[in-house]
Amino acid sequence: MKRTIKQLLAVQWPVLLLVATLVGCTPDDNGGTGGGGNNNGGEYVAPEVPETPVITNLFRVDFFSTLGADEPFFSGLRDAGLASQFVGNQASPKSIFYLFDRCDFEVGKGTAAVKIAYDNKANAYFLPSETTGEHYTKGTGVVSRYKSSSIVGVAGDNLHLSGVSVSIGLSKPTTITLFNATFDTTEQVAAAVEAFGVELQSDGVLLAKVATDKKGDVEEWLKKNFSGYRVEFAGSEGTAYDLMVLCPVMYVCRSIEELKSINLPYWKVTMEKFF
Amino acid sequence: MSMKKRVLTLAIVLLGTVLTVSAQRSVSLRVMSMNIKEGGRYCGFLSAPYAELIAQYEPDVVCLQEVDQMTTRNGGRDWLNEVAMATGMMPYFCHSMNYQGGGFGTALLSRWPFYKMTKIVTDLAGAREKRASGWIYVQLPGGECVRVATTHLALESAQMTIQHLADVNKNIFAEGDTIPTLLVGDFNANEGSDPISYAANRWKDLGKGYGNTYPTSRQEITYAAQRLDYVMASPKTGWTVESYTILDCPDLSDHRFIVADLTYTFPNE
Repeated sequence: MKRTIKQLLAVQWPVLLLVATLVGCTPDDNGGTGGGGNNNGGEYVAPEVPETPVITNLFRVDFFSTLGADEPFFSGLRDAGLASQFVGNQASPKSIFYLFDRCDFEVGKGTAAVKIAYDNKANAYFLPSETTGEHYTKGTGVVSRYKSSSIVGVAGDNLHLSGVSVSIGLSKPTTITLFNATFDTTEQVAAAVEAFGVELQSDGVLLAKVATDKKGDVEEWLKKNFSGYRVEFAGSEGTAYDLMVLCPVMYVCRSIEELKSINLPYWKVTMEKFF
Repeated sequence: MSMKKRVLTLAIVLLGTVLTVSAQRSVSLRVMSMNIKEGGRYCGFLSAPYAELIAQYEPDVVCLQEVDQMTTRNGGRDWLNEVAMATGMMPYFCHSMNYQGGGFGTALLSRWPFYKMTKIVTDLAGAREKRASGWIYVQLPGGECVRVATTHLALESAQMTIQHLADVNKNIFAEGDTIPTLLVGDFNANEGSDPISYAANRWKDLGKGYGNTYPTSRQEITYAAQRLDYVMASPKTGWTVESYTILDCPDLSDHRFIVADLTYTFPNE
């Protein structure tokens, strides 16, 4: 039986519809700038950094996390009030960002980050790490004394990644975008680089949780597919995730210290920007 | 073509149509517009009366204007975070200018997390103050995304109101013009004025025919009734107004507030 084009289209319509829907569902419409330099052949090696830091170009980010898989950070004896006190009592130099991993958002209750910000006359932001739920959405609460004029981000099926931009005073005024995400697969890292590679090679710093068993794969993927960056990892024994600090080559992560404030585990990340 | 083949072709076409219709995506949300008059002066700068009103209507997004943040006149109150905590919403303060030791501007509150946000400050020559507009990208349960903006346009002249709106348009549409978008707030322009005619180039006025928004019943004798507050939508097609209510709250503001239930149906792909 010979079919006309119309008949063929009619038969294939549902299939075409499905394909179009799938294409339409890719995380393309929600904000990424795209880009990012691919490493064409060979493995990328970041250039050496000066041994001695320039003190006025150092800044600090505190990342509160158990690096666990399923538990909200403020649960059990870990109380948001203690986090408020920590932020309020911190001696100079104060951190530019306090990140609270799994400081989840509950409909009608919000996120504890707002209370922490309120207690300290600061600003609260929330970076979702999954598709918005009917009642509950996992994500990271961010508290900063700096007002942000933008959050960039993508909310796709495979990746949720957002970054808060603030202007801070180092030896020169600098705008830094702090990204946060949770990576369970190398494909998600590829999607992050696809969406925000340009930022991650300029003024974007990514603090991410990476599934411990994927750390090696992620490191390899970056070496082969990305450039103009520096990366550091830190972690504890027996946790589901490691902490990854990925920054442009004009930045360096000077140290990652594992600390505790009363019963709140956190990672003190000290970074430097080169001018 | 035999009758059997014709019937088969018709059935396939019908199936395709049914699939297309059933696959058509839509998104519904409730928005509120609240110009709270000088940081909430009418009720002593308290946050609770506004939080109670918002909680009563359970909006998805609230677009606020004339918000004080930790100013002398409001007693150093972090007004927006207070409302956010009381309602469980996520706040975004759009700082227009420093004022009385704190800040003054517009703001957004969202019942759902937002993954992206932008603030712009428009500083027009001859304007008496800088004015901030801000927008958030909200992902609703189910995964659909909408963009909701708050604004408080310049009032010095119709030309300046238009210039201000042009700046908002330029910046918001630079981030894309296909995502369903609402521009909500105090346009400082009455229905039928040049700025609202200009707005119609890019936006659909969803509140047409639902009544005036200024002043409240307390000042009706003093001031002529006008429609100054709007819910504008882009793209201009695909929006349905399920309900549109003007709230008269003379103890909270000189402007009436808006509560609108809206649905956007995405075009067929």
